Order: sequence, then C-alpha cells, then structure tokens
Amino acid sequence: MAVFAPPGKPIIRLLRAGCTNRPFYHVVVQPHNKDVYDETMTLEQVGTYDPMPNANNEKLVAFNFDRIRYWLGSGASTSKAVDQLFGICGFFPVHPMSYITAQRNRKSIAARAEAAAKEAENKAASESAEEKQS
Amino acid sequence: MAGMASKSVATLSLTFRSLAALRRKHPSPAFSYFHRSFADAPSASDVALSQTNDGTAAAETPPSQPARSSPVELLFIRPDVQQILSRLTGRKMEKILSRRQVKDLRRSEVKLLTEDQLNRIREEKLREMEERLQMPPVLPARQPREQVIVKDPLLENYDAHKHVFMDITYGVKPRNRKGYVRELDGTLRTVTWEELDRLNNTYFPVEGRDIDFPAVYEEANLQAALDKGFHEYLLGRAVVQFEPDNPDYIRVTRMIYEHIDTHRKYDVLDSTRFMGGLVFYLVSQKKADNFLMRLLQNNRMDVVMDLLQLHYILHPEKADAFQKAFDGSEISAVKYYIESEAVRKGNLELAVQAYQETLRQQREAGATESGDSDQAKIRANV
Repeated sequence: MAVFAPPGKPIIRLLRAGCTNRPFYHVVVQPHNKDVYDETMTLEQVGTYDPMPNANNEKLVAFNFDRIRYWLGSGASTSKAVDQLFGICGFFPVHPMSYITAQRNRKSIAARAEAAAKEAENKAASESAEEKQS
Repeated sequence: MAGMASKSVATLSLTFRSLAALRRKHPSPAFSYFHRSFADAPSASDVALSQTNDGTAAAETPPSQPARSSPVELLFIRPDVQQILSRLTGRKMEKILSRRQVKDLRRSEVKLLTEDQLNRIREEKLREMEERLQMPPVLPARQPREQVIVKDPLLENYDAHKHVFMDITYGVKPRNRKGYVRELDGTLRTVTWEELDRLNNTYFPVEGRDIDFPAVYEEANLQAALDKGFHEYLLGRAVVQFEPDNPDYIRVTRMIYEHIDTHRKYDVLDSTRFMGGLVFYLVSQKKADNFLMRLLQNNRMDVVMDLLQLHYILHPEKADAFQKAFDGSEISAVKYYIESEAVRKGNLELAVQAYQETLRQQREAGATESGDSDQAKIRANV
C-alpha cells in the first residue's frame, strides 16, 4: 500500500542550476521534505543569485520581495544560505555567520599581509648581507 | 494630557517637515511632472510649513511669475507650449505617411466602403499619425538618488566582490524599482541611477535597447554619423536606449540639435516627432536666430509668430514689451525681438526687409489681377 506524504512546510532555498564550473542559483520555494532537484515540486521561484562576479565586480541577486513576504507570512522557513543573503541585503538582520566569515577573512588577509611583509624584510636583510660580503 | 498632545503634534510636524525637505532635496521621479499643474510655485502645504517654522513669511515667488531658479525644461509640458511645438512640427503628409521600416509586413486590403466609413477610417489614421508625432519628453537631468542605509564595518571583507540586489516585484515601473548594494567595506546603500539602468536592462530588457553604451553615441563617432545625415535615426535610437532625464541622453540630443543648427538642416526633422524637442532646445538656449532666419526666408510668418510666443513664455523678462509691440503688428513684434534678443541682428533685419518686400510684391500682383479674377466675379454675383 502506497503512503503519500502530505506536502511539507515550504522552505526558501537555493537551487543550483547553470553549467559545470559555472554555478547559477535560483531562489525557490519548495516543500522542505522534497529533494531540491525535484524541480516539479517547486512551488515558486522568487529570485536568482549569480555567484560569479560580473565585469563591475558585482554579484547580482534578484529577489521578488512581494512574494517572499507572502511565503514568509505563510510559514515558510529559509535555508542558511538564503538567510545570509537576506542579511547582506538588509531584508533580515545580518546573519552571525556573515560576521564570522568577514572576521575570518580579515584575519587571513592580515596574516598574509604580515607574512608578505616579513618575507620582504628577510629578503632585504639577506640582500644587504650579501652586499656586505661582496 | 495637553502636554502629551502638543508633544505628539510637534513630532508629527517634525516628520512632515523633514519629509517635505527630503522631497524638495530629492524631487519625485520625472513622470510625475506630467501630472503636475504648472505653477512653479510651491504647494500650499510647503509654504504653510515654512511659515510656521520660521515665523516669517516664506520668501517664495508668487504663482503668477515662474521662479527663475527652476529649470526651463519644466515648461515643456505646459499645454500652450505643447500646442506651439505641435504647430511648429509641421504636417507634411508625404513625409509622415511615406514608406518606412516596419516589424511585421502586412498585406494590403481593398475594401468597399460608404462615405461615413471612409471618413471614420480617415479620422482613425489621422489619430494614429498624431500618436506617431508625439514628442519624447524634455526633462532636466536627473539628480543623484543613492542613499546610505547603514554602515557596517564588521562586514568588511565579507567577500572580495560587492553584492547588488534588485527587487523584481511584479507591477513596479522600472524607474521605481528598488536596488541595494552591499559594498566591500560593509556599507549598505541604494543603487545609483546608472546601476538601476543596468539592473533593469538585465532583468527587464527592452527591445532595441543595447546592454552596453552604444559606441555611436561617443563624441567622435556621433559627429561622423551626423555628418552622414543620420539625425532622425540617432534621435529615435536614443529615445529607445536612454531614459529622457539621463544625462547621456541630454548630451546626445543636444549634440544632434547643435549639428542641425550649425548646418541649417532643419528640414531633416520637419514633420517628425523630434522637431518639437529641437525647437524647444534652440529657444530655451536663445539660439533660435538661424532657425528664425530660415523661416523668414521661406516667408513662414505664422511659424515665426509661434516661435516668438514660445520665446517669451520661456524667457518672460521682456514679455510685456513684446506684447505691446505685437499689438501693433506682426512685423513690429519681430523687429522688437530682433532688436532686444537676437544675436545676428544685421542679417535678421535684412531678412525682415526682404520679407516685407515679398509681401508688397504679392499684394501688388494680387491688386493687378483682382479686376478680372474669378473671386471678384463670384463676389459681384453674390
């Protein structure tokens, strides 16, 4: 006897489309208990997200806020990626992971800058030592 | 209770005041100009607010005189200006209804009609023609619209690329769409006009509109194209490519108008939808002398009078003196204009004299014929 699961609560999440090595995400509303890539189950597409920056160094994101508000009002949840995007654009408060990512990036940039500076110092020191020898 | 009430009223008026100030600083989108009535005076609420704030009378010009500080382009949409420009456009049927490039070819239809039906179709076609002669709007250049929403230094270096968000809600006009940018340093702001144009082009492309800035509208290329005579094509393409208040559009159209004026090629735009814009530009910049000369040489005194009327609507400083001269005669009005406003006085005066000479010759020719003309016979019989 087949068991038909009722459609689950809607969730707003990213659906990866595009091609190999060229991702492009559709922001879709789907029942949470269905496979993301079972596109026939998609309730609605409410936006797009292009993670590849364009010629102006921009990552383009489109949101149909009118419909997003409708689904959120109907009890839809959001995936973590979508939460972060909403936070970046100011629709939601900024997600804590965005702050953490930013902090980690700043740390690694600083570390790399320090390492580069140290290497330059060492190089300059070794060159001056060579000059003194010769 | 009274204290609380006055506090809430004070807060309300503060909000209205700041909103009014914000509205004055960032004028509403250009399309609202079409629905605004043309007093250049501030609205009653603005005056009332400024009076309550300062306690002194607002230093605004009375509604009868247009304010000097407002851009002259706002006068374009006035009904009397529109009528004058429409008359100045001309209605050369052979040019308007000539063969042109269309998207879909249609077979010609042959119908058998009564007089009534034929007249109705004629009227319909005339209405279509008037629609095709509708002038593209002349607007002042748009002001910067971007505003910082929040500065968030903790989000600096979140990514090596900025994020640009667009609200693709259905049913919103392209100019009113909302866009937001999260910069690399964490600042969240609204989009600039250029970014909004680009985003609209990406998500809501318009047929005939190029994605990148067309190379033909760069200065050197534009000059070359104009020298080859592509005025009407370039103007039509600019109307599709740009918004009317885009500074690029204004620069391109002005360059085209200047080229036409320099080379006296007014016939190129005659009976097209762009003639109104050309004349409005020339008169508003007080560069209409060459055009006036051409009209006088062609004995178009009716058009000359329209042109002068337009001049004194756009530059009303000496309108009263002109009105007095106009009450005298048309020629005296033209002479007053030449004396007071024109730059190429000598040539224009010669042209007026030539026109008067032509009139005199026509009158004499008419007088010699009138003795045995058909009209005289009919008049005699009646």
